[in-house]
Amino acid sequence: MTRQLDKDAEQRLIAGVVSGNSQAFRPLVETYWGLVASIVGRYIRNTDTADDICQEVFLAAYSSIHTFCPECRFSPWLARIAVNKSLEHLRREKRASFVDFDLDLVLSGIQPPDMVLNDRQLFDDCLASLPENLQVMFLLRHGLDFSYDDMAHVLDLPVGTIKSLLFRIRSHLKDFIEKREGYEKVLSSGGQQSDVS
Amino acid sequence: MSANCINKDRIQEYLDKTLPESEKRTVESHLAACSSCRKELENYRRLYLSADESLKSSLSQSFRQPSVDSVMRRLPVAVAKPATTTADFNFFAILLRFALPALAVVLVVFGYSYSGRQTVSSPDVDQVRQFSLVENSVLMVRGNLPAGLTDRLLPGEPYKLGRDDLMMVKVDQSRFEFSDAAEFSFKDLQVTLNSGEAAFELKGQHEGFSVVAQNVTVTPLGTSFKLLVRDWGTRITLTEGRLQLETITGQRRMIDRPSTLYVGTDGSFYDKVPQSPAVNGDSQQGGPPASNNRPAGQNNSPATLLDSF
Repeated sequence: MTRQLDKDAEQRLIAGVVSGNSQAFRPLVETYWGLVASIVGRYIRNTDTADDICQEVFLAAYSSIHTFCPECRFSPWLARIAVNKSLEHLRREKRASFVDFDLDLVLSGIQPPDMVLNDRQLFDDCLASLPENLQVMFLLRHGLDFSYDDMAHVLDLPVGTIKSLLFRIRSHLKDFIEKREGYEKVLSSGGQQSDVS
Repeated sequence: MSANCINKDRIQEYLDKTLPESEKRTVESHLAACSSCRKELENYRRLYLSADESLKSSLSQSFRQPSVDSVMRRLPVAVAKPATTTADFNFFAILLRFALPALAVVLVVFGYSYSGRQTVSSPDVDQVRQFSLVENSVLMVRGNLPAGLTDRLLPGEPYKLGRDDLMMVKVDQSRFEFSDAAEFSFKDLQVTLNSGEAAFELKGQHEGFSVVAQNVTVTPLGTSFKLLVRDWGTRITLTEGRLQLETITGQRRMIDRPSTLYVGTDGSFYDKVPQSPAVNGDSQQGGPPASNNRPAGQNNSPATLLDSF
């Protein structure tokens, strides 16, 4: 995000929009464009299409802003619209929503890269191979610091399910980091690379 | 690792900072004594760090101005349709009595309009007018004009009606009615009602308008609701939109669908009229306090949001 709004300023802007001042919506769009684009971008790879969907998200938010609870946080509310609009688009394109998937199958499909990468590159590679909803799950938790309750609301999943999925994937990724450490130690010692997969 | 070691889920809960304090201390105590678990924790911590760095950086993408401009161009213009039937009115009324005992003060903080009647119109036509109380006209529906009043109210001037008088004031597309020996004045965009009854029918742009009564300030934001204040408390009737309520005892409630709610003199919410305190000081109220079940949609439930779009 390139603009920050404190809570009071945000509430004033939202109240302004509700009372008919459409221009008060612009700072909200500018502030939260990054959040929306990050979520939409996980579902939709084409940048032009993703941009269109981002615009649809804000238009939907504007139309339904009268339903927004003033005491609530705006970002989870907006994030949910972003997820819904993205999934709507995928359903229109006749692509699965990936709500129902076999996590074991997914995890078994993530293989540690051959090249020794740093932790972050390793994470990025592994994350990119996950279904969109799981990528968004990580985005909400680690990028936006959403609580599990917020995440459950955004993704329309029980908190228990979210925790279960996230914990298992993290454990899987953590194991990759440990294995990469093994590679590094072997390489630095000049010994032969052992099969650690 | 021993059987007492911390399992992977617990380590993650610890790093997520979602463990209760007592469990957190137990984990920390074990970590202090177990190098294996400390190693496991460290590996998870590295993963968390990588995830945080990667995903937070992905949020830093700035907006493209043409995209933002496109959103703003496509916004529906917030225009209230001219009323063709009484059903189209947004009606906002305050009914107050002068002799108010120490009642529960209901602060109406926010009300939100149901935008079902706001339609898209040509974005090239600005139909939002400036709302001003100064531009008003007065009509005595019943009784005589107060002394000194000709055809319009003046800002800052106090006015008092007789018991049987009924005065209608037109402001732009809106209409106010004062009765029941109302004492009132106005300044800028605020009407002060010291006693009596007042009804407000607001149409079109009225941003910034508010009414100050004896112990409550009401700021309408397109919501349609009524307040009735009596000895036993306050009745809030929501017709349209959304209201957030806070009583003098700090209890809060959000209502977002047509309903009626009562606030007793004890500052509690009730489903029906609370009984007035008995002569002997018994504070027993009629009917149990309203349940704490929030009305649907109060907390942005999925159903509410999905219904919205």
